[in-house]
Amino acid sequence: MMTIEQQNNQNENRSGQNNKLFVGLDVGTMNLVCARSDQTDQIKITRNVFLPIDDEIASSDFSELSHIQDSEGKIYVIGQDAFNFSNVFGQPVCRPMKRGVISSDEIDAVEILTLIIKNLIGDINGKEVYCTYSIPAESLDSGKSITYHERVFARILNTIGVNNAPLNEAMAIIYSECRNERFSGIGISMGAGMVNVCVSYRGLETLKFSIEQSGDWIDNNVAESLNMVPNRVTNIKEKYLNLKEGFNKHPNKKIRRVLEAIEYYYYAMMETIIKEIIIEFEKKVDLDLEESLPVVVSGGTSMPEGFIDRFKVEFSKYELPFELSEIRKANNPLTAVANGLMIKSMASAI
Amino acid sequence: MILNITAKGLTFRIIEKNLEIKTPARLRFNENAILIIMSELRRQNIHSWYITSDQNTPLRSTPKTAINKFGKLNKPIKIEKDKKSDCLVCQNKLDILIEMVESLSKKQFVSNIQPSQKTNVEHQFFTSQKDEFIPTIDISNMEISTSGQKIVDNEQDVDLHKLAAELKNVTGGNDDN
Repeated sequence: MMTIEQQNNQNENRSGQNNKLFVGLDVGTMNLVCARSDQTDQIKITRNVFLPIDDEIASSDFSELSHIQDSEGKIYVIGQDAFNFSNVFGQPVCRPMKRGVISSDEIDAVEILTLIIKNLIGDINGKEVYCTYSIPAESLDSGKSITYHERVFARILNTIGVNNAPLNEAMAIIYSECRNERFSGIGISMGAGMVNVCVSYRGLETLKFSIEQSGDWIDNNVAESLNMVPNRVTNIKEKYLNLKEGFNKHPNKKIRRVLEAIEYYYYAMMETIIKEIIIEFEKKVDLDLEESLPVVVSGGTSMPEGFIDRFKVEFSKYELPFELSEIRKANNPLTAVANGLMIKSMASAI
Repeated sequence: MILNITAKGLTFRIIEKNLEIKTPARLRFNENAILIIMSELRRQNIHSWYITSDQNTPLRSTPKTAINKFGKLNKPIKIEKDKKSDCLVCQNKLDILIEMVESLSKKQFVSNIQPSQKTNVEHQFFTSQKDEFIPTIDISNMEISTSGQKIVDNEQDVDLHKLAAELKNVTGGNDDN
């Protein structure tokens, strides 16, 4: 039978072990996704957008909508509500991030982003929190540094009160999806702002890069071609795009026209991704690989029906500098990055 | 220290410490990796070492190019074939060397450390929000009100804690990828 002192020590040990919380935070241009180790059966997602409300309509009741209000009474509708609101009024939303990194256009973005992320991560009272957050690789298109972006998010997470570390988002896919290949493979994260690619050998980054031709690039080009607001294109894309059936199957003529344009830009994007993988691999990878590599694709831009089949067709047109075992979609393309980040948090802090 | 280049990769051997670090099989160092390692040795005031190769295995062009390039920037490097006697340099720099190599091992150049003695090198993957001086963002004048986030099911066919342990086992865990 234990003494009271022994019982207290045992309780203290148990609460010490339960005190650690591991978080994976996927910071995307369109979506913020959070995985927590104490809730592994579910993952939270929120739109990374906000909409400042004009003073004229600020007196309306916004209690039903997700929003942020500052001490001066300025209101910002946030998340999916901002997206829906902007579609109703034909007003573009504000994006704290652009092309995969923190936006320099939005003066209020950092404070709003901090609150959104704090709300997304949720209650961490009494917990020792370890959070790995996603960062992109340097862009081949612009060559811009990601240092500022990385440090701003470190600052946001410090403000919230969590220990934090960055990780390439495509690498996170490898951690989440390539256990059977001993964490060797090519991860492709196709977000709104960027496509990130990472080649991993036994869990080590061998090559990484990003290109800015992704979801937003498609939406913006289609919008410009058809004189539309980009987030309306996004709406149509997310609701109706089917690369297997093709745009001709849709009954509505106006939507068919939009889908046609979207498809053309999708194929152009795929071609660019494959060509850059080949070029970068030949330039920078000095591995004498004995094994074939899988390509694992994740991210909202890869979600349309028929995407993988079409991607396989595009890949088959090229001679690759490595042996390809298969091309597959992540188990859950929206959450694979957050999952992989959380796994990395666990692996690094246990 | 002996830097041994073979067809199977690179081996660092510090005999007195019974410390040997090998690259994964068939993973060759690229030129940049070799230059960085040798620069680190230079920085640690380790000025002489022997680079050997298997008698039957000529130096591959990549490391040879790197060695030649380094040789031009700094002092010439002695390359000997079938060097059998162990060469230990800068006895008092051994601890620094071990620390440096262990640190490099966590930067993806090598893996599979088999030390006979542990060092005090601690590698921090996470930036501690308590220790590092980073100014916080002032959100005290803002309030958030949300109806919650979208929640999706996260069906897994594997225990995530087990997966994390496997990852740590394969990569060594605290690397700064």
